[in-house]
Amino acid sequence: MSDLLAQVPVTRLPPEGHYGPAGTEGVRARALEGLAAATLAARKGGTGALIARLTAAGLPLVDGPKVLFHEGLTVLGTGPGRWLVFAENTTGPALLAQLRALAGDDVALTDQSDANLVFELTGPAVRDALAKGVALDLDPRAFAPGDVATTVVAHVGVTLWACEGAPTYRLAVARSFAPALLRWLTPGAAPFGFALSGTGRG
Amino acid sequence: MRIPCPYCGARDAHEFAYLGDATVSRPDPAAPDAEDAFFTYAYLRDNPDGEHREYWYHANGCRQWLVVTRNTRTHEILGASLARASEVTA
Repeated sequence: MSDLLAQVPVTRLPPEGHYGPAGTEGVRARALEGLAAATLAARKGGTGALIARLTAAGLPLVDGPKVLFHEGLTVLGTGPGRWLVFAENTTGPALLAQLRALAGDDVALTDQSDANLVFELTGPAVRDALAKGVALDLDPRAFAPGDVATTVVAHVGVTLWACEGAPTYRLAVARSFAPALLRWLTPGAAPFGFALSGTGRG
Repeated sequence: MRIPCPYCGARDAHEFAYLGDATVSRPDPAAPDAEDAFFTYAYLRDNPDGEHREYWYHANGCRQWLVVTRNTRTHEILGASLARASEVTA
């Protein structure tokens, strides 16, 4: 097993830096701090009405595991009638207010800004590294930009979505599980050359 | 064993938690034979050979209850639907 992380406390994120063979960068991961997040859930029997209302407001929600990008919002389908929304350059309360104005009063909205940590994963070997723990077919024919999957990686629940551009994924993980997830990813990605950023000194 | 979740697509069984028989339904607590009916409902299960309908919870996915039809002899999965939808059509 790798001793790359032998000096890193198990409860802390691995520090940013380069892991694995020098001069190679097969996988890059960046922690995206400061995103606002919220869950949006239809009331019982209200999914159709919510989708109609948001579609009329210019946000054509899909009741499925798909991602929608709309005016700075990333809307991820996580279950029937349920979505997880991320937004940059805003706050949780402001995001809630924005979603409340779009969706009306008859939906459940909850601030999740503190709940998740999001990583952006890219690089030519990103799929090879993810394949060590993601039991999904990530080939673009099966998991194309716009697709979302809520699944489990190394016993840690994650929501993963494919972004546009040479293989790029984003992954949301419950914040307190992020150190465990990175302790899975770092040794797995290091053989390809792994550049980790956004985690500071760990 | 892979279960075709209607929302998420085919997923490995380790994402799911198994509950059991989906063919029993909760008796009327006001019925005169409620005590016997609840005993049957809570404790007595058939052990079918072949196709069986059972509840699986997609804990590490869409967090929905599914009704999965499984062949108990071969573990072949013959179908899965959302339990909430199937309650309406059952």
